[in-house]
Amino acid sequence: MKKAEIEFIVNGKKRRLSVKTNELLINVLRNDLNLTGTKYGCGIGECGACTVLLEGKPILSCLTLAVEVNNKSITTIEGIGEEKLDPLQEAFLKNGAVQCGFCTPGMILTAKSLLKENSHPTEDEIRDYLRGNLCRCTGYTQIVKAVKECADKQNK
Amino acid sequence: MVEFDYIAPETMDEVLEIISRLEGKASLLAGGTNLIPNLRNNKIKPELVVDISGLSDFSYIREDEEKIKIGVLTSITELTTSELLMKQAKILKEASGQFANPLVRNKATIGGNLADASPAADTAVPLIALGAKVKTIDSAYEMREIRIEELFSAPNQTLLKEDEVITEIEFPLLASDTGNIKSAYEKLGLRNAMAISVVSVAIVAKLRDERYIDEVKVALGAVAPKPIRAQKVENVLKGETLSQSLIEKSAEAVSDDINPISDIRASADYRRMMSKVLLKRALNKIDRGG
Repeated sequence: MKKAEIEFIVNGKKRRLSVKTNELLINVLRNDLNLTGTKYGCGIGECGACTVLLEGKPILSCLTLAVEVNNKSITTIEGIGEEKLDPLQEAFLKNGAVQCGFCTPGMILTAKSLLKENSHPTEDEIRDYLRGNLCRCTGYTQIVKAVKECADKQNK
Repeated sequence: MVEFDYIAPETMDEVLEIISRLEGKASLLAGGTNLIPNLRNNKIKPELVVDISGLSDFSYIREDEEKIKIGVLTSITELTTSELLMKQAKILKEASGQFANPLVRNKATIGGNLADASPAADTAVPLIALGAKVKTIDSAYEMREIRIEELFSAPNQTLLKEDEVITEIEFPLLASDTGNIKSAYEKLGLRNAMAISVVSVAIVAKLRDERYIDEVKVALGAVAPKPIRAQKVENVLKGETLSQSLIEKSAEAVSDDINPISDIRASADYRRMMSKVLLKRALNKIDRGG
């Protein structure tokens, strides 16, 4: 089995571990680090359930090898709202934007990146930015509403 | 997934030395958004994966000597946010904005999209219309320039040798004093998001006196084994004055340029039909001012 040592920051904590060179980032997060908030959906980069932030930008952890993140920083859903809920999490709860919850971690991380880049997104901009995160409960209306409300609240 | 060794070199010299030594048994990893699915379904079985994403000097978009130069590792996201492209190559920015989704765009690179050589490669179509070339280097440090439409040899195959890599993509500045440059890009997918092109069209035209077509480049994607330049359509348009009848005539000619197949996304007949429709839409856009 071919292995490599990697060191990376996960949710602010430095981690060092030995991983198989062909192991996916999502498997290391879920199986080695027990960060099961990141979900395994399609496994081919179509659904966005496995979204994590790499150096602050949303990427798909099922299309990323664990060895690629050596010396880099990863944020998973566990890394936001640790002490009290993130405003986006609050808005999702308040608007009933969580149904089965499988897409929620990815939705929230992608939406976080959107609000960092664009503090006043229109509905179209929100829909366009979230286009890679699929909700199979099809609760998009509430999700878009939650993101919009969170942005409006932060702009006050 | 097959087992492989992994290396992340810091310089292009190391990359060239490694791939030359491995003689085709190494795969380059830039964004990985094509490579990893290909590894997972055993489409490729490299002995070594060479992660080039850490090479620092290959991610840029700049203007230099009347040309736009884009580093091979520039991400698709960077193409969508570039002010310079907004001014100089709107169609490349537009195509990048329709590329997959923001999550994929954050990792996928322009060089990876070209080297993957999909017949539906979304950056290739505007780049062909912009008259772009790739610059390459091999392990003997020999450099060459290849026009984008000549880079692809077959679906998922390029002319690149085992020990050769793309370093830069370059095309001439569009804005000029001598003419009025118009461009248009049209993509048809099966839905709005995450859709691989069924047909895509890009046009760059240099007009004189409002409607006279001095020069024109027309490119199509997903309607042949590789992204193509539509020479027959160009011949119909060049040296003529843009009008509805000319647009109709050029749409008839497109059938001779393309060679579509039927696949999971569309039938060859549908692609033939939609090539005409998209070409007309793009030309009408140019007629209205690009």
